[in-house]
Amino acid sequence: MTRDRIVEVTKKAAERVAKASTGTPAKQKYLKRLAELKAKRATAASSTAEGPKRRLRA
Amino acid sequence: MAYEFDIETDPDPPFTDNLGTEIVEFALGYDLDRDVVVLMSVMLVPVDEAHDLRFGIREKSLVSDWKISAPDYTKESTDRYIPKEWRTFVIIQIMRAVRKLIDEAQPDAITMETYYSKLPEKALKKYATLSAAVHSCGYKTVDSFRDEASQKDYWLFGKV
Repeated sequence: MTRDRIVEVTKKAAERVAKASTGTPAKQKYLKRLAELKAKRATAASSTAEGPKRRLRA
Repeated sequence: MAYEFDIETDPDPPFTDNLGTEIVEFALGYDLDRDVVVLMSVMLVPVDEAHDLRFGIREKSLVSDWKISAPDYTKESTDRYIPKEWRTFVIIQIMRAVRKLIDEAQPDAITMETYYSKLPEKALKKYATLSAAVHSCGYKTVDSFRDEASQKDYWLFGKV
């Protein structure tokens, strides 16, 4: 392949993936992990909110 | 933005998109407020007689099935989604993905280019690392050069 051709191939590839809209087929796995992280965040937020109350009660 | 870095260490095998591109994706993290997974997408794109190797960050909505961003190759995106102390690990994961893709597609010729022009030696290190991953799959560097017009760097790999 000539150097001009290499440049052309990479340019075409960049254009092609910029247009492609197919995403990961593993959506369920990511949805599950997102839910886990949200639950973790909620737990952390609730324990932070609980913290001052506990101190007040003490 | 409530982004949480949460890298996926054991990604699924390669899949092929509607245009024939072989892809390995792994999660970098999640935006918990927007219901978005941030993915590193490593691709072998078939173009005529070659396959072009590229990797970029995509945002995939987990509520709208159709909504996925184009790959983002910028330093800003890397800074936003990959903590500095994890960059080396991400490169290792990309190397693993490259090997899986090449094993699957077995292309005759592979091209690669830098996103930025006039990259200094230090910034080319990751491309050298990825070249090593390609070499480990039974390929050699046939040509590598900096294009005069764009000042980007290019590689062509062929089977040994």
